Amino acid sequence: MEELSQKLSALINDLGFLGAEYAVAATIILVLLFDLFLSNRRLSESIAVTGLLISIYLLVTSFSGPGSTKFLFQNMLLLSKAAVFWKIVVAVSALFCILLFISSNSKFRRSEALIFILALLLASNFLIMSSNLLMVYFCIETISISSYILAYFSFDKKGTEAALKYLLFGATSAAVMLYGLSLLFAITGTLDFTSQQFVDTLLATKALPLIIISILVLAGILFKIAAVPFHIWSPDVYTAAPTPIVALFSVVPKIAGIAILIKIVLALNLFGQSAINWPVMISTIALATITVGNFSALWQSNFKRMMAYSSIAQTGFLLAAVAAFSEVGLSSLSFYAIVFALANLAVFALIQFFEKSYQTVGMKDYSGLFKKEPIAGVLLLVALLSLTGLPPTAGFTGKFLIFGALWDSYSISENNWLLTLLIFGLLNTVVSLFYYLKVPYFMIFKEAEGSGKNSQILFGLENYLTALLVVAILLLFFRPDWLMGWINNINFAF
Amino acid sequence: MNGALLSILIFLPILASAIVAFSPLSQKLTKYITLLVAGVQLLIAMGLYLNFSQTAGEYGMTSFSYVEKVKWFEFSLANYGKISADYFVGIDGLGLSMVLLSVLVMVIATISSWNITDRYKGYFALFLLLNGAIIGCFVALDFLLFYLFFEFMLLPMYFLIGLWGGPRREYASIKFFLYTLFGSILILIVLIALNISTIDPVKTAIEVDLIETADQYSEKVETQVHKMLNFGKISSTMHVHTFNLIYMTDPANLIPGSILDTEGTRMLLGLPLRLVAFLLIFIGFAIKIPVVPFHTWLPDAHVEAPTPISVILAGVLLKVGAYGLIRAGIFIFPDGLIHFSWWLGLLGVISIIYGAMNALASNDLKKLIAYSSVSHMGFVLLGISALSSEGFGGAIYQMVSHGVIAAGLFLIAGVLSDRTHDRLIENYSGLAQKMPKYTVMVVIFFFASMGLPGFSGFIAEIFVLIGSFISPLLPGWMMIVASIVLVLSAAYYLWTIQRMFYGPFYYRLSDDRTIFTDLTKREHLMFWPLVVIALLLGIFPHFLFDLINESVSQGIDLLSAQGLVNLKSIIK
Repeated sequence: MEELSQKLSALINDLGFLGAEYAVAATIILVLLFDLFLSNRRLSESIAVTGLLISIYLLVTSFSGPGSTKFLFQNMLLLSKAAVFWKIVVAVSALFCILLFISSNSKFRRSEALIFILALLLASNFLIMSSNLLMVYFCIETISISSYILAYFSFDKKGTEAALKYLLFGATSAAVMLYGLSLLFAITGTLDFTSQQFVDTLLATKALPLIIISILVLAGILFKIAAVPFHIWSPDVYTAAPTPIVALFSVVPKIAGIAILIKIVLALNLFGQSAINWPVMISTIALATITVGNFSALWQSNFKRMMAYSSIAQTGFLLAAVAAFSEVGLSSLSFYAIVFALANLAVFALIQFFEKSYQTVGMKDYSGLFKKEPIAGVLLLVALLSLTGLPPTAGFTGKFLIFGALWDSYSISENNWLLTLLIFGLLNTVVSLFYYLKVPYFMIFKEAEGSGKNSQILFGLENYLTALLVVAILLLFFRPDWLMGWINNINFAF
Repeated sequence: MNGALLSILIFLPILASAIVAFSPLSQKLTKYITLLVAGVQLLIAMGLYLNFSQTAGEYGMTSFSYVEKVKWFEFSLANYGKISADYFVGIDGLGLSMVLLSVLVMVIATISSWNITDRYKGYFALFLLLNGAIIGCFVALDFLLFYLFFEFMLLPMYFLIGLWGGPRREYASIKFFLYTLFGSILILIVLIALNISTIDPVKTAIEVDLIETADQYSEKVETQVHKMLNFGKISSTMHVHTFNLIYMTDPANLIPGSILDTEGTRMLLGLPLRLVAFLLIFIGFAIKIPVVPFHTWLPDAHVEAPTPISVILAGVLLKVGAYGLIRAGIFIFPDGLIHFSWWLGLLGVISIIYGAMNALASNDLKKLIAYSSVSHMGFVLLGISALSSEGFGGAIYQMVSHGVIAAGLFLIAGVLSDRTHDRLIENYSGLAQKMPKYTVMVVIFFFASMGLPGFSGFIAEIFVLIGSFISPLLPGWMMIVASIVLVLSAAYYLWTIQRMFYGPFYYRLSDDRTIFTDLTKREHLMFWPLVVIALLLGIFPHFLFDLINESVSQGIDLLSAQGLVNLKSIIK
């Protein structure tokens, strides 16, 4: 009896650490209620933005406070500085996507979309903190369900098809993952993957079952971050879903997925004692993801579809940083993830701007638009160059750090796979330049066919947001120490 | 006497570029601003030249004048230590000769851009941006800064070729971009490896509390830091990794056991890693120079680029490749140069022959000049790989001389295509009758380019040939083959003169004779400075040799002494 009451008081005590999540949850409920009774668009939008701002504020205060790593709710969650860091990145990205959504043209069920975006964010927050396999599964499923519905929010035939495809792939990979998790539970007898028991039992396990289990478990996460070979859903979804939703998909679940991938892979790596050679495994996936993403993007003529393949390739670069299996690698990864989010969101914001003003879909529709929109054109060029990784953009610094980490790990482990990943990963940049420059090419080099289309909107909210992001991209190139100063306070390994 | 002259040289055009891009200036005003910027740069560079002196001694910090060093960024990265980069610029004789060349070519190219009215704002803004990036490349002493400028040249160039070029401009511009980016990536791979392997002894000394400020740094401290590093007394979190191009040349700054450590035994594909790194960086810069077989972007880019851009491309951009190879390639990996000198020399000779053969076979005047550039840049590579003072000096001389002469040659092609928009050699005959002054100019530049005594090309090539003949590394036949090829260059130039300028006047595509007007005043203004300089450098070689002399001897000392030591230690 005493034990139970102790546990209870510990649980009640733990409740105090989730302020940011309460803010998001409360916002969801408020938006739901206000939408139900007042159905005032502006009102629910401002509630969502305010709630999210409060959540971000709470996160920032807890980040700048004394950081101690803490297990919550009987080792279900692990609240560390790294987790708070990822939560801030995810929340700010989500805020940006909501602002994009507010300025978008979409007509139906706007408040419902807001609710699902917030639900996705909430689940991402918990996913980032999870230290329990069941919790991981639960969060991934919540993210997925929100995503399936959001993918359908353009309410047309293509949207239905994409959402259904997404659902089918998602359900399959979730089932596969669940099977893997249950095997893992069967072997280790625990769901807490940070526990000593987990490590000890896995050390005694043979290589073959471990490989099978690892692949099964990874399937679900690789699906969420759209890595090869679980990337097939993303081009369709990216093409069909509304642009702000695509922006959300390309950043929030991806970063949350990477954050949990790091934790699980580090747990399964067993401090390098594992029977599986994890650096080889991750670098193979990374190289395949980069290459497939880049080469598929080459042939696309739809901008959003190209961006889908581009973000597959970018996932590969994030995985490359994981493959280094070093603290340097993880610090570089967090830098790169932020830069990637900045550039990707900037590109999608501009896509939305051009969609709204000129009804652009394919790349050809961008012909000659540079003359009409020189500022937006320059912003788009800088954002795309950052995704390519050319100076003077932060994308270069990010790639530099990741490949520096790979060189460093190579010099310690002499693992030739890392060197292969390093060289081919960087050479992929040349391939990526070709497709990233395609849209600027049409904008600047081609003349518009017919001159009927003219913009009604001079300078939308999208452009101001993008300008902000692009300034950040340039600033982080010239002063990477500003961000790295923050990142260095974080221990990413658990 | 220090000031911030080099920074002004770099940032004046970049500032002007922003002004041109964002203010509603007329075409006339825009081009005068561009000319003014180039003129000011020329004056500053002349000032630098007149006050320049390079102290003798080892290659190191003291070899550079007008040094500016400001911290750019410094951050620590987990257990890896600190990464620090500086805004670090300075010039030695080699750098100054390149700066002089590029500001001169910029002035000429600006005059040559005089009639650009199509989207002039974009053109001149990009032009100025390119100008700043090029100067930045030649004065940067921090590898990251160098790389920034090196990459940043690509974008303006891409648009300048792609928007104002000839009929196949889009193909040519993207080909140029992808090729050079491929080279840059190879350089980047080595750049990262170098950064991991090298420490900044000054900042590391501060980090381990040997000294408190950089002013207290002395040779004694340096020896102590190197000793501590060598015995592993400095933990990895205390290492301050640097991009400093000068620290990278000193193997004592390499962390023991790191990737590019000279004491290391790391192998890849049967080669020590240092040699692999040298090959990567060599290919990276060889694409830019360009060395056969990495040259295929050049004819396309040259043929399609507008005249002023061709002038910059041939006059300066190719030298960025050669300069980079010297500063960041062979100075850091002298062991690589010695080990591969035979192959490098061979590639140089192949470039010389292959370029000349192709020039002989070209029927497009601009293509002919482009291939002659490949041929002449082959001399630079041959001279560098000879590892003798004569060869190295000759290579630098050739860089300057080719910069001046090639600029003139592309202007010549530009004059003709301004009038007829047609550069096919076979379409013309007897131009001498209609355009006598132009013909004189053509003859001067063709003769200068084929290496006639009295012009700068002669001095450069003769020194390269002597250098490769007395070279301790290259076989004698390379020099003999290279000199025989000089006959080929005479052949294609003389043959071109014969076909286009001699005989009765004839133009295949049009009967309109009035378009064949002789050189205008503006065109004279572009040509004469180049002629004067080519002659001046041909008759008084000491003007340039005095300037680069100290760089050459420091370079050769570094290469032969350090190179042998490194090579012995990596091939055990």
